[in-house]
Amino acid sequence: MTPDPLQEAWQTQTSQKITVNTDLLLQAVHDSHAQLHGTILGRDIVEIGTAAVMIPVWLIMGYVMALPWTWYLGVPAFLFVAGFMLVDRKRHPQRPPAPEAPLIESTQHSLTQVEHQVWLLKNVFWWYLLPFCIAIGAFFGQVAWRTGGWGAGLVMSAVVALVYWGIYRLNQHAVRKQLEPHRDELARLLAHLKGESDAEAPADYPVLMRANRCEVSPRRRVIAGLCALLILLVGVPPLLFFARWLDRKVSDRFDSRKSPFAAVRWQGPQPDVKVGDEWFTLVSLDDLPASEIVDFTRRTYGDLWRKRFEEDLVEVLTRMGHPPQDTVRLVVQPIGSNEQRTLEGVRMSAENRRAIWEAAQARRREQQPQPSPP
Amino acid sequence: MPDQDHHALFLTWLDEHGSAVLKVARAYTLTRDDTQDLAQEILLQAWRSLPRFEGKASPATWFYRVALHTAMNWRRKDRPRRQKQQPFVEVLDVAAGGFESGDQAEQRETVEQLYRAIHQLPKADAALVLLYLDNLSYREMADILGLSETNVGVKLNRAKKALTALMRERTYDA
Repeated sequence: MTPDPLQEAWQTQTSQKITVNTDLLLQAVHDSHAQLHGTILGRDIVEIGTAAVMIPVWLIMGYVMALPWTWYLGVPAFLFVAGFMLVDRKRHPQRPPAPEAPLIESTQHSLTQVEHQVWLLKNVFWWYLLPFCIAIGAFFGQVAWRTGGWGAGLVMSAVVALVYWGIYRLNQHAVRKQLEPHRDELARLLAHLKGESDAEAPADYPVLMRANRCEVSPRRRVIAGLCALLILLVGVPPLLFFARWLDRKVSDRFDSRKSPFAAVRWQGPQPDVKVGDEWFTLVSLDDLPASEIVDFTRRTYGDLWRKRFEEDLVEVLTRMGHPPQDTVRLVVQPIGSNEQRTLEGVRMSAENRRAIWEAAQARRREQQPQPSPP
Repeated sequence: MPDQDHHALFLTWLDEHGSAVLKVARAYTLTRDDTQDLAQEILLQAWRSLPRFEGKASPATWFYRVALHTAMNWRRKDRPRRQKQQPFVEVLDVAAGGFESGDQAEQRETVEQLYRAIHQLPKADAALVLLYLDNLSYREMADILGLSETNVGVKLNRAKKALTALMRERTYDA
């Protein structure tokens, strides 16, 4: 082929030349190799190591702070995220493309990797945020249900939602500003090399994305939002009901701090008890006369006899040789009446005992001397 | 291949094909700093890829593949990261001096015009034009780009037309 004038000029170009310091090049190769390994290692440590560290931290926090069992739903959430990352790393290893491969091949490789990164970040809500949303939602819900602090629960949920929204937006920002422009450029280049008329991307796109620009269309955005809401609505309430049911079962079965009375008050040595919403004078419990129980507590616990009767009834009855079952038989006398009534199958519950304890705490606080004004 | 052999081979190839690196770097950047940065990145990639060189392609083809691939993925935004490296490449201007003939001056101006035109071409066309200007055969171009020779022919014709049009515009502007 005879060179044309442009080729001749091009091949004789001498306006610039390149000089290379090979020692520094070797140093740069070594540094960049170390940097690449450091980056990959650092990313693995951050992504998977965080989960590995957080799981024991989560367990210890739950144990030390005696948190409700829904706290531990965070552990499967961490395991899911770490597992997802490991599987993803295995299926889509982030190997740099071989630069010595033909251009069309290496461009395709780069494009596939960028597309996968876009997919990961675009769907960060589903594989990273949603598992924690369910776990945290269930935890806040259970705590709010137990304590009645729905307002505080809502505020905490709003704070968490705000943090999650921030994380989501950061990821989408990275996609929009860094990954998508690079992806578009590679797709255009590939289309041009292949001689295609437009930069049509491969068809293996995730369901939430449109094929041509990896963008989430408004319609799909709404559908995705509704799906997320549905998952939360379907996932969290059953967990809450299950938590509530399990709480009762566990405390009823294993907790000795139970009482058949919703409240106790005293007329001298005679206990008045509240069962349901009604006050009664207690006559007997499982055929044990109330006076006998009171005498036992006075003999055994000294000054603390009232406290023991109110808060440690199971222990008192057990020491008297009459450990109570899950339900007891009460003989009571309505206040101001001489008629006796028998209440069968009154449930011994931890809620009753907790209410008695809280009332006692409130009484003690009231009885403490108030500091005098200066 | 032992490290010493790598070193020697790399230096030989660099001597023979270093100009291709500079041409690709200039074709895909607009400023001198960017050219130097891209040339440095190409050489880094070339050194890393050298152990995988199997001898199936010629060194010229291999160098072009590495250079073009790196240029396509080179991003100005990554520069702060690369700036941590100590510069090992220097792009030097060769002064025209007092002995430049009229033909040489004309050629120098043609080359500058070519770079300006190449900057306006799509990246894939720019790659074809670069290979064409360096007088590579259709077979070599096809090897570098991963296309068939027929496809190279069709695309190169289109790219040359675009280049000619741009060069003509430049000439009229001047």
